This record gives sequence, C-alpha cells and structure tokens, in this order.
Amino acid sequence: MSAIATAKSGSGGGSGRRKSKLGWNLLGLLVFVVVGFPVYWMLNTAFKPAKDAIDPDPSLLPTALTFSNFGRAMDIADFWGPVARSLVVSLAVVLIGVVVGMLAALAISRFAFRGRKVVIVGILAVQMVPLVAMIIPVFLLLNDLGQYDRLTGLIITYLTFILPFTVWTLRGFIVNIPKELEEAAMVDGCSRTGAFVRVVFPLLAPGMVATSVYGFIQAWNEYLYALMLLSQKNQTATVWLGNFTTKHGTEYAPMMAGATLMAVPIVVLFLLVQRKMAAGLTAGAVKG
Amino acid sequence: MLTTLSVIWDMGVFPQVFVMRNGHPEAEFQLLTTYSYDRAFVVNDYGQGSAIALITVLLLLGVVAVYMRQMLKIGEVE
Repeated sequence: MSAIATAKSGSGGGSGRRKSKLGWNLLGLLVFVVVGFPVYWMLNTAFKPAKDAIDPDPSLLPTALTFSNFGRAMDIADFWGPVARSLVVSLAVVLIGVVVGMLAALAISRFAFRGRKVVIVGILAVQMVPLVAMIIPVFLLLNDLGQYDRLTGLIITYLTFILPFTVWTLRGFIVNIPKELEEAAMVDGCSRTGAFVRVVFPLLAPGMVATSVYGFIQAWNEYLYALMLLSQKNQTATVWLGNFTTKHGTEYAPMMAGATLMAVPIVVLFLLVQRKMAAGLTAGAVKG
Repeated sequence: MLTTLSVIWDMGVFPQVFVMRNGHPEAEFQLLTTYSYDRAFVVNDYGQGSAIALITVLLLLGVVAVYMRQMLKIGEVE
C-alpha cells in the first residue's frame, strides 16, 4: 500500500513543473515514512519481549528479538480454524465476484440498453452507503433466512459490497480496450464469444487480477459483519484478533504477532501480482 | 474529487473506534456509526439503531450528490 502512496505523490509531481524533482522525491519519501511506520511498529512490537510492548519510554529500534509472541498468538485460541474460514470466505467472494462482476461490467460497457446510465449511477451510489448502516437489516434478514452463523450467509453479504466494486473497476478496464479489436476479430471469422475469449479476455486478465486482489483484501479485512453474523465458535481471522483483549487488559505483543501472521497472506499475494497491479491500478482508476 | 470520496468513506469509519474502545465506546468517543450499533445491539433497540443509520445515510446523500455531479462532469459515467 505504501508503495502506491509513494507512486501517487510521485506521479503528481511528474505532471507539474519540472522545477525541482528533489522536492517531490523528498515528499514521496515522507509519505512513505508516514504510511510505513505503523507497519514497522507492528513488526517491531511483534518481535519484542511481551513485557516491553507498552514501555512508557519506547526505543525506536528493536533491542531484543523473540519469537515467543508468535507461540502465544498461535495458542491463545484456535488459530487455524479462523484463518481457514477467512480464506474460504475471501476466495469464494472473489471467485463469484469476479465472474459475475465481469459479465455485468461487459454488459454496461459494451451494450446499449435502456436504463444503462441508471445502472451505472446505482452501482456507484450503493458503494457510498456505510456498511454499518446496513448491518441491522442484513442481520435480521439473514436470521429469517436461517443463514445466521453460516459462512454462506457471510459470503452472500460480502458479495453485496464486493460486487459493485468489482463491476465498477472492471468496467474501467473494459472501456479501455478498443471495441475495434473485437470487431476486427469478428470480421476475421470469430463469433462474439470467440472474439471475447481470444481477444478481449487476454487483455482484461491483468485487470481481473488487480480487481481480485483488491476484492480479496477487502473481504479478508472485513470486521463488522464477521463479528455480527458469526458466533464465537465460527469466528474469522479479523475477529479472532479481538481475543487478545480481555477483561484483564490487552496483550499487545502477541496481538501484533497475530496481526503480522494475518498480514502475511495479503503481502504474499500482493508481491506475486505486484507488477500487474501497478499497471492495473492506474488503468482501472476507481479513485479520482 | 478524492476529497469528496474521502469524506464519504470516513463517515463510515467503524472498526477503528469500536475495537480501540473495547466494543463499547464511551459517550465522547461515539460516532454516528458506533452509536447506531450500540443502540441496536447493546441496548437491543433495533428501531432506534436503524433510525440513526438512516440519518447517517441521509446526511451522506448530500455528499454523494456532490460526488456524482463531479463524476458526471468528467464524463466518467458514459
């Protein structure tokens, strides 16, 4: 994430006057430090002895290295269960979201139909409603449907906010693929499906990867719905992190170790597709 | 435009406050979002909770309108 922030401030400088590149670079560095520090502090706390976690006089650099916090984090409560549930939910949401989202995005960007603009504005507008505002109706609805405390219920709920996002982002990618390429393929004897599979799909693939990764991160990090819609025994990884806070206080060092463990899949995923992401993010451009 | 979007997103902030105040923020830490949650699930007054949520959405609608106008202006919604 920090890399993106730096890149963003960097590109802002590129379009301006080329008076002093140094100033922009320094600004980029500053942004990187501000964004990166919490992450650094999380790692730092995870590896320091538990008793030093909330030292009134903290030292900026690590002094002693220990892995005991990770051991504590792994056995405070069932660790693999919540992680497995988080993975199942996130993967299911991303898979369904990208497939359905791609079809919807194709429809709104390639075909002219009545009410297309309304659909687009609708997709954009529903993303603006805060999730908390919908928790009560969603909770009551799922309760009535017998989906409370079920992963399927959570998956359906996540899709309600991942799908608009996927549709909107993929639409940005599809719009950037010239219609002429598709038409040329059709002139050369491809069917509409053939033109899509052979021509549009390969061009769209990086965009789909970028969208999936972003969707995965959203689903993985979601807290409120996971907390409300699943009981203690079915909790997901984000809710599991709350186990470190008890009536007797918070165990910060093991909590940070747990947070580090949770960040690992995201970071690995990000590194794997990072090159495609960098191109994808600017092309999709959900953010103004 | 990014500012508008940021305002919209930040109105919906919930987990940060909720988790740091141990699931039950004191009065001076309450936001519209946490207040709605608090009313609905801690005091079990679903009606009041949804009412607060609805007011939040109505307030946001003004900002969303501004955002939509900006989007329409740059021709993003075509």
